Parts: sequence; C-alpha cells; structure tokens
Amino acid sequence: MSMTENQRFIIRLIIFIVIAAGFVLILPRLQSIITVIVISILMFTLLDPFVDKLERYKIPRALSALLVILIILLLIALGVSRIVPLVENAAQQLSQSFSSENTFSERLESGINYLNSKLPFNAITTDLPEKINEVTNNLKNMLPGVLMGFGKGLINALSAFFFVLFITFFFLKDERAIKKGIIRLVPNRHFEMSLNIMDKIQMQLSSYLQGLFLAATSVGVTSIIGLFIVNTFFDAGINYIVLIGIWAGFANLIPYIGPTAGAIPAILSVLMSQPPNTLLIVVLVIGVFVLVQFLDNTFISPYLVGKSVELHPLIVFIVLIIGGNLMGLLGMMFAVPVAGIIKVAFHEIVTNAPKYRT
Amino acid sequence: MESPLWMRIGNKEKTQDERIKEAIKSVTIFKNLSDKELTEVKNAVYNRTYKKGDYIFKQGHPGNGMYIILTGIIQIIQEKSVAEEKKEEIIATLQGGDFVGELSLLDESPRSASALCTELTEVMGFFRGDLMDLVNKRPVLGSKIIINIARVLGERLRISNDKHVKVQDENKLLKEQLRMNDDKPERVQGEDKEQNNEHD
Repeated sequence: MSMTENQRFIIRLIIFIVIAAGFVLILPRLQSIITVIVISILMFTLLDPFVDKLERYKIPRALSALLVILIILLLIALGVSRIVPLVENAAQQLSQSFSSENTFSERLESGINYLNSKLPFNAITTDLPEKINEVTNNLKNMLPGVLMGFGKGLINALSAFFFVLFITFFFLKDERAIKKGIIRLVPNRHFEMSLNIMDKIQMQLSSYLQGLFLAATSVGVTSIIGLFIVNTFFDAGINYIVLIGIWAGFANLIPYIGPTAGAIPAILSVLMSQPPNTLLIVVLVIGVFVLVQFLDNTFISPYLVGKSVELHPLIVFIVLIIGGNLMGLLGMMFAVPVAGIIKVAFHEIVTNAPKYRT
Repeated sequence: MESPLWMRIGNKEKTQDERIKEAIKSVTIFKNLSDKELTEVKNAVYNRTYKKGDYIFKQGHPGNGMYIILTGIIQIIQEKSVAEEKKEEIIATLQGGDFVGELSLLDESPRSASALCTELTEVMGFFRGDLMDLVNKRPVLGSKIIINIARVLGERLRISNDKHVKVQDENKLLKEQLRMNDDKPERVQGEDKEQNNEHD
C-alpha cells in the first residue's frame, strides 16, 4: 500500500517536530561540547591554510597539523609567560591601591575632579569613587568565593582549551576524510550541489575568519603604536600598553561595544597615573582609539573582511545578547564570527541551490 | 599466521584500490602521473553508486567536475527545443572506463547535457574544489593535471578549428555555385533578348 502525499508530509512533520523537540531538550546539556566544537571549527578554518602551506613542502598532513598545533601552543605559552607577569604586576598595584587607605579611589576621584574642573559641565559623576569603594568592599568580602570560582573556571577553561586543540588537530589532519564522510550521507540527487556549496562555504569562511583575525591584530598593533607615541611625546605615563593593545584587538571582535571597551583601560591608566596634563592626554588617548577605529573601518576591515559578511546592526545586537547570555564575554567575542559563518553558509545555499532546480 | 578472512579482505581492498587507480590512469587528464600521484588523486575522488534511472547530473546545472565510470552504462542526453517543442536526443552512451565532464573542472558553466544511468552504475567524481586543493598542496601534480586539461582543450580547439575551416570552405564553394546558378539564367535571358533583337 503506497502512502499519499499528505500522509508522507504528516510523517515528515512528526519526525521534524520530534527531532526539533529532542534538540531543544538536549541542547542545554550539550552547551559546553557544542561550544568546544564551534571554537574548534573556527580554529580549524583559521589554521587550515597554514597546514596546507606546510603540506606544499611535502610534509605529511598529520605532521603538518601537529606542527601547527605545537606552534600555536608555543605562541600561547610565550604570550602567557609575557602577559602573566604584566597582569600580576597590574593586579598587585591595584590591590595595593585598594588596601592603602583608599588610595585607588582617592586617585581616581582627584583625576575625575580634575577632568570636571577643566570641562564646562560635570562630565563624570563625582560619586563614582564612592560607588567603586562600595564595590571593592563587596569584592573583598566575596574574594574567597571569587578565587575558588576563578580557580574552577581556570581549570575548566584549560581543559576546554586542550579539548579544542585536540579536536582542531583531528579536524586539520583528517579534513578530507571528514568531508568525504559528510558527503557520503548526502543522497545522490543532492550530491554535486552539496559538494559545490560546501567548497564555496569553506573558501568564504576561511578568508572571512583570516580577515577578522588580521583586522583584530592590526587594531591591536595600531593601538600599541598610537599609545606608545602619546606616551613618548607627552609623557603620559600609560602603563601596560602591550596589554591594552592586545585587549583592544580582542575587544574589536565585539562590534559597537568593542572599540569603547578597548579604550577604557587606557583612559583608566591615564586617570590613575595623573600626568600633569591629564585632560590633554585623555583626549589624545581617545583620539588614538578614534583614529585606530577610523583606519580599521575605512581601510583595513573592508579590504580584509569584505562587505559580503556585513551584518545588520540589529542582527549584531541580537547575536551579541545571545553570545553574552551563553558564554559571557567570550560568547560576545565569538558571537559575530559565528553569525558571520551562518550568514556566509546561508548566502551560499540561497545563491547556489536554485541553480540546481530542474 | 594471518587469518584467511583478513587476507581476503586485504586482497579485496587492494583489488578495489588497483581498479580505481587503473580507471584514473586511463583518463586523458591523469596521464603521466606517478603511482604516488595516482594515489593522491584516488584519495581526492568520491565514489558513488547510482541506480538505474538516476541522473548523475542534469543539463543546465552548474558544472562542478568530472565523472569516471567504473561499471555500468550512462546515456548522455541533450534536450533541444525544436519549433517550440522540447526534444531529447541521446548524444553518447558511455560505459566502464569512459569519462565525462572534464571541462567543468575549470569553470562553472552549465552542463550542456544530462547523464542518465541506464543500469546500476558505479562512478568516481573528481571536482574543481579538489583540483584546486591539489594545485595548492601538490603544485607539481596540480600543474600536470592542468597541463593535461589544456592539452585536451587544445586538441578540441584544433578539431573545432579544422571543422570551422572546412565549413567555411564549403560555404565559399556553395556561395560560388549559387552565384554561378544566379548568373546562368540572366545570361540565358540576355541571349534570348539578343536573339529577339536580331529577329526584329
């Protein structure tokens, strides 16, 4: 007995609802593994061209993948060994400021008062130091718990990081086998179309992610150069310029919020060190970040990232909220690249699939 | 001692591998490749099995690559519009060892015909993305394949040129014949007029 079209549609609908319900139920439990896989895919897309380059020199694929992963590990270890003392130093200074009779809030207050006296209106609320004092007192009470949580978080992050590297290695090594495995599942009538779309998505993604990475690096480097110039010529006393630059580069991955978030540590650093011409230095620091953003938005990002992946501001806002809710700051950083990936994939499917209609 | 079962499985895999390599080797664009390079190509191809009545690709779809037939029979069917009526014409029948669609490795222009399986057919697909991947990772192998494709294209262009010249020559001849035919009645008419004048 053959099924009618309606019966077939109802069965398909039921299967779809069951799968969708299962997905919705299971998703929260799989959140961490999905996050690890998504980051691994991003890493794979970013690192694949380097493995390809090594393969060109007749180095076997597995060895090339291992070499690239080892280089990444080495770079991260080097970065951490350089950055950790800086962070440690900054934290020490900050804790000294906290403990020594509210010096931190006093210095901040005098910095703010100085700024307000120079401006025609009270630009910054004067009870900010009091609020910061309140927060620091609360923080002091919460410190043991926070430290425990931080330790746990660090262990979780480290294990997740090694999982990511492990999965990325296998993605890099078995790229072709994985692609063939996925394509084997596709029915014959959609085979060529799926392969074509997959190739195009991979190509677009690779250049998009590399563009994002290069743009973030350029923002970091130009911020460091700008702050270094301000420091050298105006005796601004901005500390931890490299750290601020790295932060600005990472923060740049978060649209709209990123550029401001990138500038805040530099401004705070100026306010705390209180150079003789604080207002001018603050204006110059803001100028550096505005110039960095201008260069990035006008010359670097359009050239490296391309206009095709431009997302509507509303979409960016929504994905940032989703990313922030799922994974906090890290989620906000990955939200736009992941949304970009989905947009590229969707664009390729919508553009190419109709060409295969008979 | 090795189990006979494993030996049989090993032999079967070896024969299958050899069979695929032999099929790849027989294709013009994979000529002059070393055994290692053939293995590279073998790793890049996709093996698919189509049932009788299945289309491997359809006319008008974007071309993405070529297919080498391992077993089975494929009909290459071209749909033509004759006096506002669509007609299907079988332009070729291909079987084991034959290949189709090699020019799609270079660009995405639409397929000029459809490929229909008339029996259970096993094919290997080699696609543009994988060719570009080979060019990127194994430049020597990639350029060998591209040079072979260029040779095939050159050969086809030569044949096409010869045909074009032949058609042009035939055209000239026909035009001359037509002119001569057109001239003849005028001359005959002219001769008639002269004769009439003489009579007058």
